[in-house]
Parts: sequence; C-alpha cells; structure tokens
Amino acid sequence: MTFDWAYAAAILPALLEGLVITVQATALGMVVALTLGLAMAVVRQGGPRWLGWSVGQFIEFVRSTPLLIQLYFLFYVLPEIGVALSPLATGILALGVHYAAYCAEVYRAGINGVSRGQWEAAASLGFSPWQTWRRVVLPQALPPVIPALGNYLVAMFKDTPLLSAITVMEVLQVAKITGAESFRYLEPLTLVGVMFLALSLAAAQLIRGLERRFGRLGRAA
Amino acid sequence: MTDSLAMLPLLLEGLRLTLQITVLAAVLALVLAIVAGLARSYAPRPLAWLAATYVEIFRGTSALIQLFWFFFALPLLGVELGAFVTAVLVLGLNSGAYGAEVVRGAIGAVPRGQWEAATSLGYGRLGALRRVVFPQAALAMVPPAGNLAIELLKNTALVSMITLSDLTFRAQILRAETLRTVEIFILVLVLYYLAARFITHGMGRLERHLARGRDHGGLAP
Amino acid sequence: MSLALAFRDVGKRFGETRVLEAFDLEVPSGEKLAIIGPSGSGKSTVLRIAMALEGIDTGRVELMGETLWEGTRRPPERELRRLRLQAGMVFQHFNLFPHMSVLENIWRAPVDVAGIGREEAETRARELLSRVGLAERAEAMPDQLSGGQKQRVAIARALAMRPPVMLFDEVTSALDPEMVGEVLGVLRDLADQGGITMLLVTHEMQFAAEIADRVVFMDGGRVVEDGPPSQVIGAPVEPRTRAFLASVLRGADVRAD
Ligand SMILES: Nc1ncnc2c1ncn2[C@@H]1O[C@H](COP(=O)(O)OP(=O)(O)OP(=O)(O)O)[C@@H](O)[C@H]1O
Ligand SMILES: [Mg+2]
Repeated sequence: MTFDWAYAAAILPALLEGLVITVQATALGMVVALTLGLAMAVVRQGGPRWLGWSVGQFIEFVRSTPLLIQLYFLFYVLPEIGVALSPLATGILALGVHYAAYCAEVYRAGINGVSRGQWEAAASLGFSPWQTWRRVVLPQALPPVIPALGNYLVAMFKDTPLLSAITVMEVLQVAKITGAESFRYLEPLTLVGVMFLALSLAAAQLIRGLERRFGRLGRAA
Repeated sequence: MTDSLAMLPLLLEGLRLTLQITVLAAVLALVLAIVAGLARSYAPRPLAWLAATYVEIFRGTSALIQLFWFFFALPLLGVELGAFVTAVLVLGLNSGAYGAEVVRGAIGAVPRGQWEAATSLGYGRLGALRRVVFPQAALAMVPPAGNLAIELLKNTALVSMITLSDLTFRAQILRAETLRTVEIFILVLVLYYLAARFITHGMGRLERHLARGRDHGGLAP
Repeated sequence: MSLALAFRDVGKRFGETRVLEAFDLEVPSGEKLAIIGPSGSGKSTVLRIAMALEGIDTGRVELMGETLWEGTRRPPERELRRLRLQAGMVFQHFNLFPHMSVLENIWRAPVDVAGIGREEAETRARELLSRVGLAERAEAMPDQLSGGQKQRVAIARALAMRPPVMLFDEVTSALDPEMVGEVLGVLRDLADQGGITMLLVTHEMQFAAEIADRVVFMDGGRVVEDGPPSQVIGAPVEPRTRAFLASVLRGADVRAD
C-alpha cells in the first residue's frame, strides 16, 4: 500500500474543517489558561498564606497528572454534579485548567523578576495592593514572559487532539472517523501530522521573534 | 469505601503496565537524547541533519498523533509492531526528541574555556567531550530530565487509546462497570501523582549524587 | 512644638539579629535630622519602619501624632496606607518605575492614590521636574537618565505626594562621585525652603554638618550620640562616635587619592 494522493486531496477539506475546531479550542483554552494562571500566580504571591499554599499544591497536582485523566474526570463528573457542558466546552475547560498550572509558574518567574525595591517604592507612594499589581508589578513582569507563554500556547495546540477522546470533532477525530470509514488511516493521519508539524514550526519561528523582542525570562519555568 | 479499596488491585495492575512502559520508554529516550543531542552539534553534516529532522518532527507533532500514526497508519505500510512495542517506541522517540534539546542546551552552556583547557592538555574533540565537557553538562541535565520523565509518565496515559490496559484504561473500564466515577478518577489521579512524586524524589537524589564533592568547574554555581 | 516622628523604646529583630534595641528618637516637625553610623547599625531600618515598610517587635512608633506601630500589632492594610501618606521615601537605588516615563513616574501616584485630576497632577509634576532641574527630560524613560538624574526624579516623585515627612536613605551612595553634587544640591534647596521634616541617612559628613539641625549617631541599634552637628560631627563626645568619624575620614582620604 502506498500513499494515495488523490484520496488525500479528497479528505483534505474535511480535515481542515476539523483543524478550525482544533484552533478554536486552543485559542479559547489559552484564554482560560492565561487568566486563571495569572489569578493563581497573583494569589500565590499576594493572597493569604493558606490560600497561596493551596493554590501551590493544586498547581503541583495538575502538573503531575495526565491531561487525559483530567479531561475524563471533567467529562464524567461535571454532569453528575449538575454542570451540563458540551464536550467541546468541557475540553476547553480541561485544557485551560491544565495549562493554567503551567502558565502560573511562568508568571511567577516574571513576578519574581520584579525587584523588591519596586514593591517598596509603590508602597511608599501609598499604592494599594491592587494598584501596585496593576500599575507597577504586572507591567514589568508580563512582557518578559510572553515568549514562554507562547511556547505553552504551542504545547496546548499539540495537546488539543486529546479532545477526540471525548468525541469533540477536532482534526484528529475527523481523521479517525475518515480512516475507519475507508480503512485507510495512512492518508488522514499523515495529513494531520503534517498540519501540526507545519503550524508548530511556524509558531516556533514566531516565538523566536518574540524572544528577540522581549528577552527570555521565565523560559526555564 | 471498602468497595473502592476493592478496585485498587485492578488499578494497581494497570499501574504496573504504566510504569513498565514509562521505564522502557525512558531508557530508549535517554539513549536517543544523548545520541541525537550530540549528533546535532558535533556529528558530520548528514548525521547532524538527520538528528535535527528527528527532533523537529517529534517535537512538532504530539505523542498522541505519533501513537496513532504508528499504530494505525504504519501497518498499512507493512510494518506491524503491536500495541506494546508501539507504545514504548513512540513514547521513547517523543521524549528522546525533547531530551536531545536538553543535552544540546546543557553542552552548549559549558564555557568555551573548558574546551580550550582540554584541548591544551592534548585531548581531541571527542576526548574533550567525553572526559571534560559531558560530565560537567550532565549535572545541568538532571532537573530538565526530571521534568521530561514526568511528562513521559503523563504521556503513557495515551496508550489506553491504542488498546493497552494501563492505569487509565482500567479506570475507564471500572467506570463503565461501576459508574463510580469520582472515586475511581480521584484514586487514579492520586496514583499518577504519587508516581510523579517518586520520579521527582529520585531525580533530586541523582542530582545530589552527581553534585557531591564537585565544585562547579566552569559552570556558574 | 509638635512631633513629626517619635520612636519610643522600640525593639526590632530579624530572626536572631537584634537590629534595634530600646531605640528612642523624637523628631520635631520641620527638623532636618541627619542619621549617621556604621554599616549594619540599623539606620535604614529606622527609616523603613517610619515608612511602614517594616513593623516592629516592641515599643511604639508615632508618625505625625498618630500611632503607626505598637508592639507587633499590625494596623489594617487600609489604615497603613493612610498613614503612609504622611511620609515619602527616597531610596539608595532610586527604584524608579522603569516602564513609565519620567513624568508619569511623578504624576501616577497623585492621580491613583491621592485622586488628583490628571491635568493638575501633570502640571505639578512638571513644576517639580523644573525644581530638580530636569524640566526637559519629562518624556524620557528612566533607562535614559544618569544615576544623578534618576535620583532627582525619585525625589520629585516622593515630593509629588506632598508628605510632611521625607525620608532619604543614602541617596547618594549609589552614584558616581561627579553626580553626588547635583543631588545634594536638590536636597539643600529642599532644606532651605523649609516646611518639610527631613530624615537623612548619609555618609556625607560635611553635607550633614551643613544642612542638618541635629545629628544622631547610631551604633548597634541604639542612639549613641545626639546633638547639633557642631558637636556630633565637629567635636564628638562619645569614643565610638570618634572612632567612626575617624574611619570615615580615612575612607574619604583614600577615596580622594
Ligand atoms: N530583611 C532583613 N532580614 C534580615 N536581616 C536584615 C534585614 N534587613 C536588615 N537586616 C539586618 O539588620 C541590620 C541593620 O540593617 P540596616 O539596613 O538597618 O543597617 P544600616 O545601618 O542601614 O547599614 P548600611 O549602612 O549598610 O545601609 C543588619 O545587620 C542587616 O543585616
Ligand atoms: Mg542602610
């Protein structure tokens, strides 16, 4: 059996439609991850001690357990406790929470990069905690971590096909169904692989540009 | 509660397979990481290019897509590996690609002075790498390698999607049979978490072992 | 005369190190007080406590007639912020906000904290900038300034909140020698103008002697000698003050070489 180009061309439109869903899920998941991650990082640094500690444990736990299980967990448990979300929304939530844990660590590196003197100068001028975060700390902490957050965006994009496990019609699910119908998995799966490779490489190029612009702080986190 | 404890042996059976795959894939990844990481920087052109292609392809697509491709598409090209071998091979290849970047980065971070000192003592390029540079870089590789090992452990959950009855797979079966979703998934999450803690702990010991009695040479402390 | 600042039998520890012990200090309103002393004697700690950046363990601190610290009790955040408005601080390492223009560094707190209109705050900021001789650098970013210029902006920034008490912690120590003069000049103008209570921690003995009404020599977390500059710097009574001044003067000689 060899690669059938005509067949590949025939299924490409359906796959691209799936890819659109994948990209949408990634984008929304990243919005969740960026905001929730920031909230967790801020609470960890500036909230009450017990809350900061709990958030730290939560982050550690989320980072050490598989996204797939977290996905199943939300998919089966949310309806049981009366939260009815579509599979797509559940998937976005799972991606968002999982990557929020990683983003929180990135933000933390950025926040730690702001010197004590900045906090003290803000306090000496009478800024409230909220004003200190908004006017002084975050404007300095965020730009340097943009490239690192970009790397997690790419990582999340590559993880989005997991949503096929809960029946979301993203690109991998489309490929699986197409393959099962025709008994030809080679073309759909290869096409999916090539799509991801192309987009990841393009994104990596973009992130290198961001690194040149913003520096590389927070990358190691 | 007694019932959920009764599920434990079944889950532990799954955990055994999970750990088996993790360890075998980690060994494969370690070898691939060193070979590809060194080849990319120090091998002759065609080999370096080959290593780079391997690294970029496996980093540019996700482990899930790679698993599916090797499991569903590759047999159509006449190569049938079976689920277990596919799992170990793909997860090893995937982690190895990330590991290669760790190796390359750590070696690149050893100061030029160390190369020059070795050369001035009469070492050739390979000798300098083997005796002087690599041992210094190894210490810097341990923490990121620990993170990769945890990513690998988490990635093994994906093998449940190519029919292997690992921890995740057993959780799914048990859930379908007993419908006690919350207990099962929390138990499974905790098992993964403990396994991850174990890896972190082991890597910490390895790092201390490697660091023992060594000043930092040319590396920053 | 009313007191701007009072430390009463204050004790302060960092872990095992006792930084202040039975520390007493009264600063009348409008006074220019210089605090001198060896490294580690607790000078910065005194200023940081007055600025409410640091609490205390025992005793009591009053700022502009109100209790700021009493024992380990920490006032609620809101109260602390209100009290902080009574003092302004200039730091050794400037601590300008690097992402704001020079002008915004100065008007931002009056707008956000004091609730002054943006336009008025900017006008005030420009006035302050010309007072410290930097009117033409309003749009510059802090990175583009020299150390002496940064410190002058930092002084203007603190003044913009119009605090009755100003705290200066070795504001010339991080500067290249040729820039010390311009910053001291600004401080001198401020002192001459009067009205503001000034606490200056400094190693510039001559400058301290010149502008201070009173000098306090600290060592080991206590006030060792306290009096007019002509005494504490000119003719110290305490042996420890003498030893310190002798070593500082030697240091100055070495630097002059
Ligand atoms: N946050 C802190 N944690 C622990 N120890 C501290 C802290 N801040 C100050 N110290 C210690 O308290 C003592 C007094 O410090 P302080 O900064 O007040 O001295 P100083 O007189 O300003 O010295 P210098 O002239 O060097 O600035 C020092 O021994 C210092 O190490
Ligand atoms: Mg000091």
